[in-house]
Amino acid sequence: MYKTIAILLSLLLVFGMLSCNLDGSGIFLTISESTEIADSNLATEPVREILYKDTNTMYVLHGTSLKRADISVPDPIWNNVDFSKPISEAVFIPGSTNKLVFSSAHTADSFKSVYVGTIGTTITSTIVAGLGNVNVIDIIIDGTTVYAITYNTTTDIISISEINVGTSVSNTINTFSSAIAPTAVHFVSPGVSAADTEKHFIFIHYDDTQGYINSYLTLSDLSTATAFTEFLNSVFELSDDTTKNSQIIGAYADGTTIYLVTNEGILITSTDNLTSFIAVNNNDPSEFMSLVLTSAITSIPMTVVTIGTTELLLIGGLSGIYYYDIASPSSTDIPLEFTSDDAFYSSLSSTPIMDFYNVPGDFPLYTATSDKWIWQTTDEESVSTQLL
Amino acid sequence: MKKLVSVFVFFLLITTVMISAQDQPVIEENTDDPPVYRYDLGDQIYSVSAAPLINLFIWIPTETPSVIAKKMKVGGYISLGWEAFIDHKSSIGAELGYSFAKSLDERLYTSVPILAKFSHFLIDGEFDLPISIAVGGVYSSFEDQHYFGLMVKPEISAYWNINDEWGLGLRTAYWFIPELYFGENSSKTSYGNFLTIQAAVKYTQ
Repeated sequence: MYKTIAILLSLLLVFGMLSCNLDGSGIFLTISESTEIADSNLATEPVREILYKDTNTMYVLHGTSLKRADISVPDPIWNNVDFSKPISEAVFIPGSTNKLVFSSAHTADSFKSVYVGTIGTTITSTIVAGLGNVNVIDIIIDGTTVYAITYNTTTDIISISEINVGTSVSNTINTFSSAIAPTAVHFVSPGVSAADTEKHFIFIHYDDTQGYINSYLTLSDLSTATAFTEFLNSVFELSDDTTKNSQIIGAYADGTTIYLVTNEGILITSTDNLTSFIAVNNNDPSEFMSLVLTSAITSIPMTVVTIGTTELLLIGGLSGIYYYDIASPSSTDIPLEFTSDDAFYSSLSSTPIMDFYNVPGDFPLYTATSDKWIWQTTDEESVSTQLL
Repeated sequence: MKKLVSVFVFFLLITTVMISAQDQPVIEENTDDPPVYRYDLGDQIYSVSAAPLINLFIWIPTETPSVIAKKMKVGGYISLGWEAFIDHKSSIGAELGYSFAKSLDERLYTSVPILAKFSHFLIDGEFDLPISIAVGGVYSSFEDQHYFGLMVKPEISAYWNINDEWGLGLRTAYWFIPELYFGENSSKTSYGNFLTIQAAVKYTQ
């Protein structure tokens, strides 16, 4: 009997001494601060993209629909903006009458048609002349200029067309021969007012031998270029197979610095307009960001917020948000993931990030997550709140 | 100071078990017949159990209010147990389990208790009524936070012995899980308090 008690007490003391805080800030403390997530009528599937927000109204791509709500009221109701057709790629053009340029997949074949949708007293859409029955790679917006990137599988031609939103007519600016269709296109620009020499389309192709081919086309060369310029730099090589490249899945420009993110989770910077590159976190695979599960994810969200005197590049990850100090990065800084210790992030943790929306560099920040909700963060010290 | 208080409380629990474990005299109506015990020294019991895991409250001494309830949804707990009798009425053993529960905002809490267990059978026969105290370690995980610490689990059970080998029962257990921090982080110290009502199957060998 007493031997038993002695054993129990010994165990008590041993485990008491071993009661060490391995990491983290308090499991039960964190749990005690949790609040219930209310049901949302966005909860049927994730919000793909936060398109636009004016003073009170937010527009989001939810599944294949455009939805809007007055988010200034508690428990906003998300209403469908009904174009009577499913939406694939889309860009939002705010104005006295808001417009949406979008592609819509056909039900009878694998092609899409591009429309200019008008969001006024009535909701209408007009097919863009020249962009019906096409293979749309993406729709890009630069200020109020809208480009459609399409690929003709018969002629192996990539076409870049500019869409006149007023007349719903497209004008093909240039075409490029390519045996392989692009898998994705990114558009990186420091801002609408920046020079065209600082804006770039980044094309991603897949080749069985080379792996992914990352190349770019500068906007100023759009009408005159005859080919894309391939990124030939070792920073893009796959860490375990240097004969192949990792695809670029994220691109963001802040001033004169362009930030690229690869599928492997490596952040790459370029300060000379895509001439030379520096990989920030490629010393060891333990530094790589966990961003996507498969190569099927071709794009991840990125934005910049300002916290005090620090500017943070935010990168949407597979289970959270990574941040990187771009105001004063040291040579040893690498992108790190926010944890539940961070006030504004605690409610967003453990969910894939679908999109960010903010005035670049500023709060409030809106985050669309795969857990089917949008979160509003008013500043870096505040806990994010669910935007119903 | 808090460690000393904790140790004192556990001493109190152990003492309670000791008192209740005092051998009761066997009343023999016929002195020619030896006493019959269900369990003998060396008998072993293997058990599995499953239960809902109910968070009763979280106690955070430095917070106001210090007792915070309804922050976790009902989860689950499964366990494997083994015990060996050290006399006719008492056994020592071990229990290994896995528990899970979600916080209000749908984040997952999991824990793996690894416990040493002492039981005393108040009643044994067709029905067993053991009371137990289990002490050990528990590895808790909540998103990117992990903690290994102490766990204490007093328990009372009731079994119906179908035959000499098999029995079905219910166990009610109270979980006390301190999450201790020291120095400048001491304000994060908190104590998880849970309840399980386990359905159990046991096999006696």
